[in-house]
Amino acid sequence: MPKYFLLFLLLSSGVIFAQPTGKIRGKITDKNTGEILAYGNVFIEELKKGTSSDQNGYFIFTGIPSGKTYTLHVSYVSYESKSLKAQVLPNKITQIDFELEPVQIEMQTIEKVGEKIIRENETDIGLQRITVRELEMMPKGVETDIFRSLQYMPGVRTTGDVSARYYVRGGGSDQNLVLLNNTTVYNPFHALGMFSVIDPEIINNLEFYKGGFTAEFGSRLSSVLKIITKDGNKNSFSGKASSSYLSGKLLLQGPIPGGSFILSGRKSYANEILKKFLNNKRAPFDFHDLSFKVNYADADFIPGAKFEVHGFLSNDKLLNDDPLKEDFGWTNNLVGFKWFHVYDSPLFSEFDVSLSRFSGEVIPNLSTTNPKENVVNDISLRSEFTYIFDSKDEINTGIHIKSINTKLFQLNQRGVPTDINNTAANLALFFKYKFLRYKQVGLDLGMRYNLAGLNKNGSGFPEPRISATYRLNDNIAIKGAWGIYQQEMTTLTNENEVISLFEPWVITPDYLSPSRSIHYIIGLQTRFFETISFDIEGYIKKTQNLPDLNRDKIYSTDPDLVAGRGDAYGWEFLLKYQDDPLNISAAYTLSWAYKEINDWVYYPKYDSRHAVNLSLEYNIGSGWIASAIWLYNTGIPFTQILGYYDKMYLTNIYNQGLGGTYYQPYSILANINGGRLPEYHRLDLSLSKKFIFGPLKIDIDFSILNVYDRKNIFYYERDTGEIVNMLPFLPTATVQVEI
Amino acid sequence: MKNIIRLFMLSLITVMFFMGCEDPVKTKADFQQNYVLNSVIRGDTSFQVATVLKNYDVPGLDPNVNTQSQFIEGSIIRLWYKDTVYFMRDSLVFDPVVHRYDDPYKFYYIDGFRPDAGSYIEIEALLPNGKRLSSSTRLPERINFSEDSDYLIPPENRKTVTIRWKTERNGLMFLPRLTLRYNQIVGGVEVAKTVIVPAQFLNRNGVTDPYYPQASKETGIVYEFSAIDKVLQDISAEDENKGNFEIIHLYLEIATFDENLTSYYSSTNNIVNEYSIRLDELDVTNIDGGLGIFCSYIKNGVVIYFDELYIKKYGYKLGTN
Repeated sequence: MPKYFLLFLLLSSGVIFAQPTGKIRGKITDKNTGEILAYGNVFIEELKKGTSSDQNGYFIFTGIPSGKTYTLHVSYVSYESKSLKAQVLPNKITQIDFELEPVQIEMQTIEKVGEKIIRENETDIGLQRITVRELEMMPKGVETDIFRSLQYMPGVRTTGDVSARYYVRGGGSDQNLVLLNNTTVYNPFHALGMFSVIDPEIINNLEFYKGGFTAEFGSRLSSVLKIITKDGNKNSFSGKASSSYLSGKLLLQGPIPGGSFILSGRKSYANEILKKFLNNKRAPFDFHDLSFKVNYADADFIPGAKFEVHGFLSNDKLLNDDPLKEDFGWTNNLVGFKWFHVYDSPLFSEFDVSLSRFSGEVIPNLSTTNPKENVVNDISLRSEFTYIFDSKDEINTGIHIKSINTKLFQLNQRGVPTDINNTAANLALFFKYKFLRYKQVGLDLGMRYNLAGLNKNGSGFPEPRISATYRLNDNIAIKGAWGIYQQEMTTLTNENEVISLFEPWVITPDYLSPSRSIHYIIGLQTRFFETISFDIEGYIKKTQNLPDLNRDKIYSTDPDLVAGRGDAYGWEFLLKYQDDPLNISAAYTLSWAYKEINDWVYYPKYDSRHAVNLSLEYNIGSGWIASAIWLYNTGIPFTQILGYYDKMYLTNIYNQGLGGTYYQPYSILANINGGRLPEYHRLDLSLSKKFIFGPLKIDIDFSILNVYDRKNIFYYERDTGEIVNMLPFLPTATVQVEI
Repeated sequence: MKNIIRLFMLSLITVMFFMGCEDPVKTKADFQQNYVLNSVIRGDTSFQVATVLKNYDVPGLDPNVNTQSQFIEGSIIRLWYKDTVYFMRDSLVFDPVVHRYDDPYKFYYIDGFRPDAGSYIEIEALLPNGKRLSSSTRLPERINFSEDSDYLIPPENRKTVTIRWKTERNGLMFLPRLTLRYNQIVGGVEVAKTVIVPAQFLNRNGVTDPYYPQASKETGIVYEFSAIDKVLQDISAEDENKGNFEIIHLYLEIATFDENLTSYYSSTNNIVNEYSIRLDELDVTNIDGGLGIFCSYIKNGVVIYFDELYIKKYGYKLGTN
């Protein structure tokens, strides 16, 4: 066996028959701030070879014929392109870093060099990379929100304007992994899920996998959102303040010896706008969040090493100031340490240790509200290594260790308590080999293996993953992915609770097996013109052991969850036209989602057959940018009414005779989700202006949500028949000032 | 370029025009006839009541537009208790408190039926159309009050009065009620009076309101001593002659719900919270063949005495228990 492995490595390295080669490695950063620029395009003119920078801003070319000087072009959206010469020596790594200068406000040209070549064999099906600039271009609404931005993508669904919770390719909202600097965030929402807790101002880049994610990601079935925050300005101190109808924000950043820091805080100060989300109901929310990151890299200390300490705190309160009303509170606290290391060989390593804690509580006071308390403590260790061969192939391997404690106390509608306190550890190994040596073929073969599971049935479970690309010609690539995924945590919520304070997390109880999915994805990417791309992706997702709330729990000893299964499949079409100053994208999704619980098959509330997303962005010039987004989807399911009856309520059982009861109409429901709401559509417009006023950089944004005031139905009030609509015509504005 | 933008905007407007047309939504599935039986058997009385109703539909979505009572007359309702079958009779009463329709409130009843604690009762309603609705309940056992409770006022800590109890079954709900029993001389005649004592008084927006205990699964109840104090003061607020008052004692009653009533009461009286929106409220029923509830509860109580010195502080007399 060892000799086969040695042969495999030798073959993989591709050095046996090759001429002397060298490597070029570099980092792309912002010249003004030193901030890393992820997903930048790098192109070697003489060799017509290209690559892109990773989430750490690094790029590497291996197997470059040595003894020559090459011209490297680097391009990045909203930055001036740059070219540098690099001499490649045999068996050496030539380090060449690029500092790109942002373009002037007046002329935000986009130049993409060698885009076709760079993406030629990339195994990226199901993956969407989003830069800060792309986030900025989307209509801001009340607050710029990354989760709401995701909802503009094909395959991502929501159940209403009110919630930022999202559903990916027929999966539940608890099947989405949200990683902030590689640390899991469990309930990343403010104010009943209306906004995400992650302030877009602190984001450097994000990767969003809608499925088929590779072996380094585990613990969720449907999607992965990996967010990397900014390092902070390495060259000078700066501050940024902004204000919206809802909150005020302050961001400070600057250099420290050997590195930089960034500190950002946001605080709500007005609730009036939230009434638009809550059917004019007053909600005395008070929330804040605080994010920081400090990085340090000193070649005299440890060459090639970069250390980061990052943290994130969010706190939501809803205090009614009335003893007869309930109060609420929930917090997310994250802190982490990361050691990123670039070695003298084409080897990268990352070591992380992090703590993520969520706690949420419903305090009934003297109201008739049921109490609820949920705590999640997640301590994670992560170590990963990536080695890049001269052949361009890559090996990526690592170990992930998690110790998780979950506590939950809540009462169901019958008043039966759920009282769970569970601690368990997960130890997962993964290995991934990327064949990238052939221009026409890209193959990512991986395996994730759970040595120890959080759930006793989750140990020893292999999760093989394959992602492949075959380029038919310069213009067309066929892509595919297949993988098995396991999830050992779940939220204990009623899916028909369209607005909920927070979703309580628990480790999947041992009387159930962890939920498991198989993804089959196939896609076609075309780029017949430099400015137009057209992608098609089809997917099938089959899920077993899907936990669902046990609605028949009568005694405290009854299980809280029952297992079901889920099926989802669909097609997504995405057409993009990008030619400065105009960007247009049109997406269409045709999809089906089913759930089967207790032998009853039904559509989950996020199933919608057709969805269309159209977006237009136009750079008017002189700092003016206009954008429009139109969303359409066919109606989502709801449960119809069969009829009504007069239900008996007991007011005072001490009252002898008939006076202790009264009767009130109550609706009898038909089969779950048997009806469909009307179609949903909405047009959002945004106009923003950036300008410089003395030492200040000012960014003003005007947005109008639901321009033609479409009455999109959110739900029917069962007791009165009142139709509750989603967001009405809503003009908003934000102002941002940077020093 | 302008043409591209125009084309895009034109497409957008065209699509919006067509999408602007409202589609009728089928908010209701086909109506199906259902029947409802409700009866709460009380262990503290011999007068028991039941109702039999049918479901209905209305045009539109507001069920409050229905003005017709859905009571079904002519049903035969039988109760099986200790090898004996009891029949309920039908009657009617005009009481707008319990009935929102213009026609009289109709109900079935039986007098002289007082089941024992822990006993098993079955019910069957045979409707005029031959439909049968049936169910059963077991009355809960009476609770036992614990010795580590405050049976003398004022309590040692002078802050709270705590009464605890024990029960043979966990998971049942209890509803406490504390009553002050006293005599007052009115016009030279001694009149026996009672007043319900709240668990505490709440000050909300400058207004003081009594707060009475809610049903819960707690096997104990805490009354603020200040609430008892205030009730004692308030009873003589309109009578300056404190000597007219003779305080007897406090009497704490605990109503113990059976498991059916516990589930039903929780589902109808406890809300998720004020802000969460749930579209599929649980409809608790234990009626075979229909909807509604057949359940029971039983009550027992304990006397809480007053210290004579404490009562004399108000100028009252302490009566004999």
